[in-house]
Amino acid sequence: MITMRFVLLLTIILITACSKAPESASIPSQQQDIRAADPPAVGRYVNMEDPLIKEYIVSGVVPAHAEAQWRWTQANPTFRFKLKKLENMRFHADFTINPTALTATGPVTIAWLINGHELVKETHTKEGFKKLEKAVPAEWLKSDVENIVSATIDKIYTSPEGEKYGFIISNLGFID
Amino acid sequence: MSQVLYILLGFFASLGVNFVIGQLLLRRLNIQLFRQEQPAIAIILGCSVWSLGMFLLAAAHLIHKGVLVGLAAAVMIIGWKFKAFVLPTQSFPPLPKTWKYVLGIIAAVFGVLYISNAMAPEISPDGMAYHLGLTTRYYREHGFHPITTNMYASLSQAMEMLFLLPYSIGRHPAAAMTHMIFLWLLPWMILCFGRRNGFVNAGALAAVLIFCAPVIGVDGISAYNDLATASAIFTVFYLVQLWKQQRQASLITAIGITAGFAFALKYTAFLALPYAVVTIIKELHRDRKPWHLPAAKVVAIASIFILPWMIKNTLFVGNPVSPFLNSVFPNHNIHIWFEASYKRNMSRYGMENLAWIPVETTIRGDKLGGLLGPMFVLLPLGLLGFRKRAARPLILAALLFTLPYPANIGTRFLIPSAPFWALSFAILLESIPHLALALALIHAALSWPDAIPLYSAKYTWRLNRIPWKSSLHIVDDDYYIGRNVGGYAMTREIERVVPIDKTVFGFDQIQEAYAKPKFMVSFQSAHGEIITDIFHSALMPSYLSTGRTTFNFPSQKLTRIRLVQTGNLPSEKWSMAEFRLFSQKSEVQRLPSWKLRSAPNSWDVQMAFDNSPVTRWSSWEPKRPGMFIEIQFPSPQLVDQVVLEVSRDQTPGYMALEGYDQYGNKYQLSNTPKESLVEAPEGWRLLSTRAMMARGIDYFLISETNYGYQDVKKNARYWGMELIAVKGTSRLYKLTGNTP
Repeated sequence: MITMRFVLLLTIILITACSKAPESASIPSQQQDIRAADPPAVGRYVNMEDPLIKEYIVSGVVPAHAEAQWRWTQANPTFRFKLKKLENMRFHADFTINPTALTATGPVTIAWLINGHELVKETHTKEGFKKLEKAVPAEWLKSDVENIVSATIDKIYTSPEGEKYGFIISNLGFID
Repeated sequence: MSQVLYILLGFFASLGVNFVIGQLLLRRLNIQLFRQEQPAIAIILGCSVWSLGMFLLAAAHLIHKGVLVGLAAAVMIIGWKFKAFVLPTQSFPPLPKTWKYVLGIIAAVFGVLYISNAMAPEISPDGMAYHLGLTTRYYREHGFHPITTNMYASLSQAMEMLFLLPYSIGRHPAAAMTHMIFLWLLPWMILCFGRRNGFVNAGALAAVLIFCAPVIGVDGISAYNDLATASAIFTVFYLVQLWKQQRQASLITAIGITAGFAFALKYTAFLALPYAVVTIIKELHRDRKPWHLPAAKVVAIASIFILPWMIKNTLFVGNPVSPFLNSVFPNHNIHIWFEASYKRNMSRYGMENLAWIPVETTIRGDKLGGLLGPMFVLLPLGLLGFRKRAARPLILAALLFTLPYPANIGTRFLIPSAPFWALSFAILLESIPHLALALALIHAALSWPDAIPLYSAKYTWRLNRIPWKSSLHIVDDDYYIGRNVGGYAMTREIERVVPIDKTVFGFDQIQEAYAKPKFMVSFQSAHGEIITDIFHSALMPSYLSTGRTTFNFPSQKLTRIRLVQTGNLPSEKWSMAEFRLFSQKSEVQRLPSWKLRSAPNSWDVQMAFDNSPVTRWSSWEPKRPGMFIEIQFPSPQLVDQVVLEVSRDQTPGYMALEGYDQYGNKYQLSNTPKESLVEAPEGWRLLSTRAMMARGIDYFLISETNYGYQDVKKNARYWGMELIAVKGTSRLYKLTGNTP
C-alpha cells in the first residue's frame, strides 16, 4: 500500500508540476540600430548558384532549388545588374543548348539585349555548352541603376509534362 | 591490446552485474525456472534494477568511475557470497541433434561477425549522435543536468544508464557490446519459449530468423536500444504466459519490473504494461478471482521504473513525455509545430507510396534504414495459425506490438514485434521440421553480408564485413571511424579547436560521442529552431521582415491593446518581428512597465518587442482563431495606429485589433489592416549573428547541403563570422559579431 500511495503522490506531482507559460513579460532591452554593411544585393555578374540569384532575376527563368548551379530559361529570360564602371565592359554568358530540346525544335536563334540594345544574335545548330563574350558599348550602360539584360529564343521546347523551356543558363554578367 | 582488455572487462562487468542482480532477485521472488531460461530472465531483471540504480546515481550526480566500479565489485562479491552464479539443475529436454548443430554453427559464424563489429569503434548514426553522445555527457558531468536543447535527452534512457558502467571501463565499444547482450538474449529466449511450450522446431526457426536478420544484427551490435526493448517486451510476454500457467504471485512482481523497464528503454514499448495488466485482469476475471490487487501491483511496480523518467522530464523540460504530447503539456523546449512535422516525417520517411513498406523492410532496405531479410515477407502467414491455441497469444502480441509502427516506419521499429511474428509463423511449420530447418539455413545464408547485396538496395544500413583489425584496435580508431563516417573529421576538429564550455550550432547532427563541446542541432529543440529562424530571417527572402501591416483607427486612450488572429490556416505559423504602437505619427515609447502577453507561446512574446528585425515572435502552431498578442499599459495610453513588421511568409489579413479602456470596455479598433513593403535595410546578417550570440551560440557549423552555405562562405565578414576550420564540405565559423 505504501508503494501505491507513493505512486499516486508522484503522479499528482507529475501532472501538476508541468511548466506553465509565464503570465506576462516586460519590455526587453531594445536592439540598437547598427551601422553595418551587407554585400551588394546586385552586382555585375552572377552564377545561378549565387544565394542572391533571385535578386538578379527579373523574369523568364524557371524556379529551381536554392543552390542549383543552372536553370532553365523560358522564352525571354531577363536579369538585372548594377555596374560601377561602364568603360571597356564585356558581356559574358555561359549557357547550354539541351540536346532533347534541340531535337524537338531544330536550330534555335538567341538574341541578347542590353538595356534594349541588341548585342548579338546567334543561331545554334548544335547542342551543348556555349560561351558568349562580347564588348558592350559604354553608352548602352548605366551606373548606379539597374542594367537590364535579356535574351530571346525563337523556338520553345515543350516537355512531355507541358513545361515550356528555352535554354539552360549557368552564369552571366559583365566583366572587364 | 590493452584497449581490447578494457573493452572486454567493461562488457563482462556489465554482463556480470546484471546477471547477479537478476539471479538474486529471482531467488528472492522464489521464481522457479529451467536452467536454460533462467540466465536470460535474470539478465533482463538485473538490467531493470541496475538501470534504475544508475538513474538514481545520475540524479544525485554520483556518476564517477570509482563509484560505478566499486558498486559493480560489491554486487559481484555479494553474488559470489550468495552463490548467485549457481543455476537450477532442471533442464528442458535436449534439443534435437540437427538443430543443435545448425544453431551452434549459425551462432558461431554470426557470432564472429557480431562480436568483431561490436568491439570495433562505434560508428552507428544514433549511437554516435546521441545514445553514446548523452552517455558520455552524463559520465563527464557526473549525472543529469537539464538538457533543453536536445529532444533525445528527454526520451527514456534506461539503455544509456546501462552504458555508463561499461563505458567507464572500456569506452564506446564496451557500451555497444552491452547492447549486443540482447542480440543474443532475445533469440535465446525465443528458443526457450519454444522449448518450454512444446514447439522446439518453431522456437529454433524463429530464433534464427531474429538472430540473423540484417537490421537486427547491425542494430544489436550498435549502441542502440532496440534489441533491449524487444527483449524486455518479449520477457513481459514470456512471464505473463508463465503466470497464466503457474499463477505464481511473485511473477506479478517480475512482470511489473520488466514492463516498467520496457517503457524506460523506449517510449514505444509503453504497450507492454497495458498488455500485462489486461491479460492478468482477463485471466483472473474469467476464473472469478479478484483481479484488482494483482493488476494494481503490476502498475505500481512498473511505475517505479517509469515515473523517474517522467519526473526528470517534468523538472527539466516541462513535459513528462517530451518530446511528444506538447499540446497537452505546453512547454518552451519543443514546439508543437515541430512535433507535428516530426511525426509526419517519421510516418513517411519521404516514401511516396507506403505500399512498398513490406519490400523496403524485408528486401531493399535503403529508404527505411535497414532490412529484415526476404524470409520476413512470409511472416504475416503466421496469422493463418489463429485457430491454433498455442499461436493465438503470439498473434495477438504480434498485432499489439506492431501498433506503434505506423508512427515511425523505420525498419528497426518492427524489431519489438518481430519475435512474435517470427514465432507465429514458425509454429505453422512445427510439424514439418525439415522445412523449418531449410528456411532457417536459407535465411542465415541470405543474411550473410556477402549475400545481402544480391537483393538489397546499394545503400542500406547493415554489417558489411568482419573488421578484424579494427575490432582488435590494431588500426587507429580515428582512421576506422573516419573511413566509415561522413563528417567525422569535422567532429574531431570541433573537439580540437572549440573550448569545452562553448556551444556550437549546426543544422545536422554530429558525432557527439566523440566531441565534448556542447552542440545545438537546428531541429532538436525549440531553441535550435529559433536560432535557425534568426539565421534565415537575415537571408531567406520570405523570412525578411520587410512587410508592414498597419492598423489605423480613431485616437483612443487604452489600457490594453490586443491583436487577435481570426484565420484558420493549418499550414502557416503566426509570426511578427515587431509590434509597434503609434500616436499622432510618432512611435509610442516602449516602457518597462508594459506587460506583454501572448497565447500561445508567451515564452517568446518579448521577441516582438525587442526592436530587432531578425527575431520574430511566432506561435509555433498553425494559425487558428483566438490566438492573440497583447500589451497592457499601467495607465491609459493614447494610440491611433499599430504597425506590425512581418515577413513575407505571412498571409495578409486575418487579424483583428481590440482595445480596452480603463473601465474594461472593449472596442473593435480595426480588422482591415493595410499591407505594404519596405526596402530591407543593410546589416541584417550581422544582426542575425549578434542575436545568435545573445542566445549563447559561440560557433556556427554549416555544410554544403544546408541553406545559406554559399552566402556564409562568400560573405562571412558581413555575418560577423570568422572561419575556423574547413573539412570536406563543412565549414566551422567562430561568431565574432564584429562589424565588417
